[in-house]
Amino acid sequence: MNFIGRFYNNFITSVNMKIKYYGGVTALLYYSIISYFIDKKGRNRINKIIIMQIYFTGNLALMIISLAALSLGIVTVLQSYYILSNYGALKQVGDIINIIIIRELGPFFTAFIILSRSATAISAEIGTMMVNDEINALEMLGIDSLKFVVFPRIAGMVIAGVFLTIYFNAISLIGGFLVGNLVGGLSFDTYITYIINSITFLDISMSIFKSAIFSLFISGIAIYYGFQAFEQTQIPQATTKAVVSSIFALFFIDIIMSVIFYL
Amino acid sequence: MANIYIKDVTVRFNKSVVIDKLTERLSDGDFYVMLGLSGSGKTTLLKIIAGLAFVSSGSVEIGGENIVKYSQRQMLDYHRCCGYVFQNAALISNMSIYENLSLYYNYHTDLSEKDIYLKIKKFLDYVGFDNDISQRPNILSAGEKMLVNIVRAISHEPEYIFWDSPLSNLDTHYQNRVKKIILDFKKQKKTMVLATGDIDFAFSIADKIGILQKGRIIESGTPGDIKNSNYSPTREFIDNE
Repeated sequence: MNFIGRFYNNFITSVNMKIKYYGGVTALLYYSIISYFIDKKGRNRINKIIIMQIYFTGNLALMIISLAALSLGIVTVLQSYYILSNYGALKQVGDIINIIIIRELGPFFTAFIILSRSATAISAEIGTMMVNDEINALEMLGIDSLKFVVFPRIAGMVIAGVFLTIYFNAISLIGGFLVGNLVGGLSFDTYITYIINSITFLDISMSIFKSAIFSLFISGIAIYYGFQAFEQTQIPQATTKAVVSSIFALFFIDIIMSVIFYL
Repeated sequence: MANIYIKDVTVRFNKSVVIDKLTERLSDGDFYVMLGLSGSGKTTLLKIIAGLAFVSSGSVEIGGENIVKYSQRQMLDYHRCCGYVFQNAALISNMSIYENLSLYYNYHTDLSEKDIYLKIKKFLDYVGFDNDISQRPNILSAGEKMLVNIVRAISHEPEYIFWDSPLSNLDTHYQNRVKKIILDFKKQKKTMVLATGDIDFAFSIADKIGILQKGRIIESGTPGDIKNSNYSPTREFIDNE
C-alpha cells in the first residue's frame, strides 16, 4: 500500500475510533440519566450512593480547593492592583475578577482539581470492578449498572462540581479582598461595590453552568474508560486515558462555551 | 424453568475465536457440567448462557426465546431468574458483606431490613458462614468469600444456577462444603451449569457432561457415555486428567 493509501486507512480508523469514543461517552451519560428517572427501583439505595459521591468529590476536596481559590484571588488582585491604580482605574478590579475568576478560572480550576482527585479514582474504581467481575455480579442480580454504578457517580460529581465552583469563587473573592485591603487599603464596602457592579447574573449562571458541564463530561469520560478495562494491567492505562481525554474535553468545552455566550 | 438451546454460537475477542460455532442442548432440570482445560472456553460459555458475554453470531434460546436479542431490560429480568457463582467471588469490595447479600432485596423488594436480615441469615447458616457480616469482604478467606458468593447467588431462589469453577482455589474443607451445597441443589432439580476441571466430581454429579476444547464441545453425553467414549480426544482428556 502506498503512502496515500496508508494515510487514508489511518485517517478512517482514527475517525471511527473518535466516533466510537464520543458516541460511547454520550450514550453512557444519556442512558444512565434516563435509567435513573424512568425506573424508580432502588432509588433510596442509589440516592445514598449519590450522597457518598458528593461527600467524596466535594467535602474531601475542600482543603485543596480553598488553597487554590485563595491563591488565585490573591494573585489576581495583586497582579492587577498596581497597574489599575496607576491608571486610576481601580474600579476595573471587579471586571478583572469577573473575567478571570468567575467566568473562566473558577469553573476551570475546580474541574481540574475534580479531574485529578476524583475522576482518576472513579476510573480506577470502575476498572477494578470490571476486572473483578463486580459489574457482572450486579447485573446478575438484575441490577442495572448504568443506574446503580454510573448515574450516582455522574450525579455526585456534577452536584459537587457546582457547589465547589461556587465555593471556589467565593474564596477567591475573599482572597482578592484580603490582598486589596492589605496592599491598597481597599475597604470591604468599596470592594463589594466594584464586584457587584461588574458581575452580572449571566456571569454567575455561566460559571455554574460551565462547572456542571465540565463535571458531567469529566465523570462520563472517567467512567467510560473505566469500563474499557478488562485486565488488571489495563486499569492504569484506562486512568491515564481518562485524564488526557478529560483535559482535551475541558479545553474544548471551555472554548465552545465562551464563544457561544460571550462573542 | 425451560430448556436451554445454544445454537451455532461464535464469540470473537479482537481477532481470536474463543467459542467456535458451538451447539448444545440442556434440558429443564438438568445438571450440565462443562469439563475442559483452562482456556478451553468454559467461563465464556457459562457467561454466554447467563447473558453476560457478547455473542458474535448464533443464538441462545431459553424456553424458545433468543436471549441474544434481548433488550437491556429483558436481560436484567432474565438475570433475576439466575444465580451466578463467580470463580473469583466478585463481591463488591466497597460494600459490607451484609450489603452485598441484601442488595437484591433492597433493590427489588420493599421488605423491611429485619426481614431481609432473617432471609440472609437463613442462607448463611445453611452454608455454614459464621464471620462478621458488617465487615468488608476483604477480611474473608477465599473459602469464606466463596460461601458469601454462593449465598448471594442462591438467596433469591433463582431458577437457573451457574457455577464457574467454584472448587478452584479452595482447600479440601471448603471444597467439600461447596460440593455438598451443589449436591443439595441438584436434589432440588434446579437447572444448573457447572464449569469445572474436577473430573471425578463431574462424573459423580452430572446429568450431562460436555467436554470443551479450544472453544468447541468435542463430545457431550451422560457421564456413562463420556466415561466409555472411544473418541480419541475425549479419551486423551480423561486419561490425562
